[in-house]
Amino acid sequence: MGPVIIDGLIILGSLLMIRNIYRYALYVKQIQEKGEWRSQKLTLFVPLVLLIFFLIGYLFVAFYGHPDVMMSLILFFGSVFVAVIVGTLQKITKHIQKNGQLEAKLMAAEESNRAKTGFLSNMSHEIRTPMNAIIGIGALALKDPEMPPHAREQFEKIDASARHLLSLINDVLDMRRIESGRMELREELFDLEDMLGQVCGIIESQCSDKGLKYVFNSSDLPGGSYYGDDVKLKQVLINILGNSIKFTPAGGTVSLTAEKVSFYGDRCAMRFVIEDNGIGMDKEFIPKIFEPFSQEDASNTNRYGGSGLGMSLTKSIVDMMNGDIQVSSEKGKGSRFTVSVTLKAAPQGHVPAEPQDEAAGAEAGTAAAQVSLAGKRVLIAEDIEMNAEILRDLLEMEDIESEWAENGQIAVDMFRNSGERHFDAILMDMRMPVMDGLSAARAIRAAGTQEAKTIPIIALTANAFEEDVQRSLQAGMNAHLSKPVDPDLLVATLSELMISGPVDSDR
Amino acid sequence: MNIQELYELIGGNYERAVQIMKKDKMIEKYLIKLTESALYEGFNEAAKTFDPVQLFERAHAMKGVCANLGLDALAGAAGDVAEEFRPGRERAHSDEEVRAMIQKVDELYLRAAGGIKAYEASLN
Repeated sequence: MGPVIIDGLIILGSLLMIRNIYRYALYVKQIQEKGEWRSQKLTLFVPLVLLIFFLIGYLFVAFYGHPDVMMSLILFFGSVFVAVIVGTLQKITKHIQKNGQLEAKLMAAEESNRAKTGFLSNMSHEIRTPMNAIIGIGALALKDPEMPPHAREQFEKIDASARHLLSLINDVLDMRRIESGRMELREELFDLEDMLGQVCGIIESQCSDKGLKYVFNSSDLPGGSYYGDDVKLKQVLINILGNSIKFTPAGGTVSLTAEKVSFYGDRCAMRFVIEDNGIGMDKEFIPKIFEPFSQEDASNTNRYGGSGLGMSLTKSIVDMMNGDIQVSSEKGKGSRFTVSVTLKAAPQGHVPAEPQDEAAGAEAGTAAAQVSLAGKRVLIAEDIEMNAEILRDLLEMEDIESEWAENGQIAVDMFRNSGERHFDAILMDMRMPVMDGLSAARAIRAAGTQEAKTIPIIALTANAFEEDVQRSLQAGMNAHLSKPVDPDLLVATLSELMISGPVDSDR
Repeated sequence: MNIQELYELIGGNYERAVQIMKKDKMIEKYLIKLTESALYEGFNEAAKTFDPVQLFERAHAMKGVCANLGLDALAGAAGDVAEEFRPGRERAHSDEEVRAMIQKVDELYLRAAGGIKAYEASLN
């Protein structure tokens, strides 16, 4: 019996070994054809282990004999081992292939995304550039008071269509930015009442155009300044209110209620409720309202227009703010949207923060200015009104008051006729009609009073050549700044001259 | 569209604008004012009459305002026209060359104004 079993094992083992070696050879050929180098390395494992098997077998026979027993065991178990190994290698190879395919798909998807974003960016530039021309030239043309009424009406229609097209492009681009994670919320100080005032200004006008009543209530909202992205918050409210206006027939009412929910520490949870008595929505549609391109009735797209992205954008922005938006509606009766956000309140009397400035000197100057220049008053002598306004706004950021003279003569008259110490410094543009800056400075210094001799006068000019600086100093000015004026440098210069005290101009 | 994108669109220098105006809101306010002001009309009028004094004044004014707003190319183009007619200096270019310089100011201004108007439209 024993020899029969052994012979049987030898035959079976031989057949199995031949079969599994064949499978193994096929597998190796497959790997080589596909050029999968990682799997090729694994295939070395099989012949190595078989060699070890035979070596062990050989040693066993050498010491203990029974070569037929050893032969049958090696053949049988060796072939089983080869089968297991080949099966395992095939699974590993499949796994590697699958990963490779997933990697390739991921790279393709990323490439497609980049291409899409690049395409949209390029297209937006290509579309916006000629649209700029349409809107800009249209606006200029509409300024012509002699334009015939019929032509004016046509231009206004062109303008409205161009602006509408632009808003569609902006919606698409905003959505792409959010999807690709490139949209960021700002964290800037803003005045809540101002922001709501701007929203109401826009919405009142739109309601009036459509014959709708607009109601705004904010009696329960604490005023003051908050940190957040007022531009995005405004966008959210205008989007929802715009939708309400769109879907409310003439004679209806659209309302915005802004209210405080709770106050804890410096955080204020607030709620903005937008209601209308328009066409409303089916309850089944409400869960889909924030999906891109969803409109309850496809014919609404034709009737009411829109990109279909407005509400999706709105929801995305509210989510980015860690806020919440709820909707309730009844077909034929109207809709109600509730937006809840939490904003950080600024301490009372806090001045809006300035952008980070890396120059330590300018920072120190600005910091000192906030303490020492607040309440000071500066006379601005500048013939270009817009430049004077910019200077006034920049000074106002530092709580510095200002008065404007549009030429040197007016500046001299204002200084002479003002009370003692009415002005703490003078910003003097060099090039002005009637009387230039140099002449005005000389005239002020010649006024004879101690104040006239010592009040800081800073020359502002586009030219900063040495000779111009010298001329300014010789005319009695204390400092010379190049235009466009760096506000930090301006404040630092004012601070230095006002705090340390100017040098008597009589040298 | 945000202010930074607007500047890319109209070829302005956003970093310089922020350096001078500090806040996007200030930049926005004065960009819109630029298109609503009579600055460009004044320059156009002076260009039509080719009056040297008026051309200098109007170009100089445009240069100053645009420099504050980081509209470097427009400020530069306006500045070139202003320098041509600066009092006390001899003309360096022919009338034809100056008209080309004025044309460049026109093109740059219209590009900026169109972009600003489009931006303003996107706010509403």
